[in-house]
Amino acid sequence: MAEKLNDAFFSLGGTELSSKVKTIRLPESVEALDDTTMGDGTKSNLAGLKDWSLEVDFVQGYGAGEVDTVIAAAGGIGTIVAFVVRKSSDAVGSANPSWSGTGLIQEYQPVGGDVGGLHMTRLKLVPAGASNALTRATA
Amino acid sequence: MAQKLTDAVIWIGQYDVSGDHNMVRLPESVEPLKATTFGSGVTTHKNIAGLKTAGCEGSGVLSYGADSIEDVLRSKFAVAEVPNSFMAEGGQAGELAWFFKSLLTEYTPVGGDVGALHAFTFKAAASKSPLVRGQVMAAKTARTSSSNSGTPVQVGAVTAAQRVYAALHVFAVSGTNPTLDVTVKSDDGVGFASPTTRITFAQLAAAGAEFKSAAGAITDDFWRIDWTIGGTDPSFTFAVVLGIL
Repeated sequence: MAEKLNDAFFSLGGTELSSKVKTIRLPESVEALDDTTMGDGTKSNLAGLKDWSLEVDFVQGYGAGEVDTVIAAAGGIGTIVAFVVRKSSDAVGSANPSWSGTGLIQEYQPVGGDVGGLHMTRLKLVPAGASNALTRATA
Repeated sequence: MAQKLTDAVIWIGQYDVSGDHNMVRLPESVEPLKATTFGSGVTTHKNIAGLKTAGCEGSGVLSYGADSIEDVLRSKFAVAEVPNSFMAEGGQAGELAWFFKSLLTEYTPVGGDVGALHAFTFKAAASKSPLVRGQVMAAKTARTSSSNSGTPVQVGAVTAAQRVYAALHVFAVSGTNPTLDVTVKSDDGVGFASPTTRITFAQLAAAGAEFKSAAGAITDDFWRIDWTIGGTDPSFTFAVVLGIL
């Protein structure tokens, strides 16, 4: 059933930042290895290694529990950190699966924007660490 | 708490160019190095951290003349290791600050669309410096006292793998034969009973800026800025930011 995304859950390094999130993107992909051979009429592909990236747009903040404080405490750029994402703050379930893993903080902007604009920031993680593969859970 | 960005502070060398800007960005990134190797059960790429990249970019209203934004950007263009400091909320003492040394790689001294606001843009990249997250230890203000100390702040200790960084920005100077000596000191208590000087900036008699650091390990966790002003009727408008990385 179609629904709007307005209650997504996101945590970074065990700290929930859901209320600071404006956008979450978690595209997962797999390398398509061309294994077309003679006799094939259509290109054929074999699944290679998977990849993913997590991009989160936040409302920036610097106080206790705010985005910059949490990211700095986690180690900032170059640090591997755990995350959890699900579409709703409700309990994990078959209708509300969660995705978790560990990623390298590859991009982050601590300050910046247009004058008078809402102070925003973007965080990007790429696969890294012991749980570099995305884990989908329904319980 | 959500907030609008209206009072960002941008210091490039000895210039406060906040009032010229209507946009600033301070992106930081690290190169992801694909470290995936063979092994049973390998399904997903794995990355490790490569080198970091830091820089800044901004845009705003173009103006010409002495100490104008065009004058500032032109004077810093292609100059390496220029101290830059950035704050999001006005630059008061204790406020978070990000600072580094930069090389101004690109700027627009003239041009745009007919009828549009005549605007500048600039880009700078890190120059022999990391991007340091720290705080304002001495806010930008005019100081005339011959010898003074800032408020001690418990910034933290410095491990053997870390350094303490500080940037001094001197924006304006007046008086006869004025001199300014600024030091960064640490102590193990807020009372600063037995401070140790960790960073000594070069004496300044005119506007300027300097970025320095000292290696850890330093077990002291309280830090303070001290300054001595000399000359006849001297006044120095300056600020200091400090961080540990």
